[in-house]
Amino acid sequence: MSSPFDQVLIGSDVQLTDESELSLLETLDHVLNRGLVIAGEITIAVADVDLIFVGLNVLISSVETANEVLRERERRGIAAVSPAKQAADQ
Amino acid sequence: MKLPPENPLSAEPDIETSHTEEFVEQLRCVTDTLPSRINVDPQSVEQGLAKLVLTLIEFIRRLLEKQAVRRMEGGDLSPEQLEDLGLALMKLEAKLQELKTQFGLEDEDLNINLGPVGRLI
Amino acid sequence: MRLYIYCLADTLIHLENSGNGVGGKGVESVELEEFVVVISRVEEEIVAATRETILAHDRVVRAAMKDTTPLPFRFGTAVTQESLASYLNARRKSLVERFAEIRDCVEMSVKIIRPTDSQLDPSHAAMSTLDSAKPGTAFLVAKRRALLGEESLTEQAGEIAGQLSARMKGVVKREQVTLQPTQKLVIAAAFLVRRSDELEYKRELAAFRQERPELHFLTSGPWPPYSFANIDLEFKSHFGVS
Repeated sequence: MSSPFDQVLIGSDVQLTDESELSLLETLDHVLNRGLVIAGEITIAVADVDLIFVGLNVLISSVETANEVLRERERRGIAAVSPAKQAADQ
Repeated sequence: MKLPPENPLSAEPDIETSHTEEFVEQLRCVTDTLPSRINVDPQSVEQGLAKLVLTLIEFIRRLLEKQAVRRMEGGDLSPEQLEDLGLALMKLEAKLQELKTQFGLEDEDLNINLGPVGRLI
Repeated sequence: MRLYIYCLADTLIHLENSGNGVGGKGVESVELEEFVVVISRVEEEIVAATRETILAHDRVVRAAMKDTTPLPFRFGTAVTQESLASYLNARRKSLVERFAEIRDCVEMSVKIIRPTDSQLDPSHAAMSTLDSAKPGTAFLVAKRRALLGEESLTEQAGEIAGQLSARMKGVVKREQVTLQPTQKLVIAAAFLVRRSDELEYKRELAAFRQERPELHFLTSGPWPPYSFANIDLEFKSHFGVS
């Protein structure tokens, strides 16, 4: 999983001096970790708090989707049991 | 009418340190723990959920360990009880490690940043 | 069409060089819901974090600091005008309170690295009455050692942070200090400082640095008040965390 820092460097053609890099990192620390947030909007992912909130909303629909998928599989007679559970049951 | 501030900010931040490399190294670490984007495709939502659940379990696990150590220091457990307790916690740690691996999560991934409240662990 | 938001103000802003926003886009200040928002009009929902966009964001917020102290937005907020309007409407009271607090202030940052490793007090290490040959017991003994080390680091970090806070108390309006006791970068502090106190702040900080030559400091600023903008500190009270 690439970090946003990789993304940041990739966007730049210039090899940064230590001072430039420090300046960029300090700026990153200010603009990415703080400041006003409009919750519920999907913006560039930053603090994990957003991931949880947004994730929860999206989670509800994906649990429903997951249940649908499971029901469908049962209907079609396909096993939906994880390998670990299968091993434990034996 | 509001009076304008006396000193406008310069266009770039003023940064001062005698240890540039050290801070670069440390700040890189901080940046690395940020996720690169919020994806809403099912796979990463699953991973997001796993991350949340495992972080909470990890948090509880650490509390349990701390409690166990305190009981050990307190001396009110028999050697057998202590051994059983230690083995159980060992297994819990190993199990959690296994789960992390299954979901492709590293230790750093489980340290959720709660914003102003700080990190969970 | 979305609005990329740099910051929010409660008074009119005059932007001079209006072509240097994110992605080279033009920057405008727009009146909305009795506030003033500084924005660029963009197509995208998600804005990539590159060196150019990050620096552009900060640059625009800094330019806005010329006329007033704005509430900076976090990098990457690109929303519809409707969302923004509804957000402003819903949070009006909190936002007005925030503006009152940050008026005529700037943010100053201090980060501290503690380079030396702490020594674990050897008298803590022994729990000799226990049979460490047994795996479960050995596990707990090792954990104890690690925890004691961590506690010691936490104590030390707390002590440094406490001293820094005490020192700066007279010259800052508000502080936000984060500790990471087990990292090298133990302390990251953000201070809300009145512009008129800036010089005194620097003097006190310099004195503190002199007194702690074993610590490595990084100081930066003045910044727009990113760390003091967030009104969603209600998250804190929801979870009862202090």
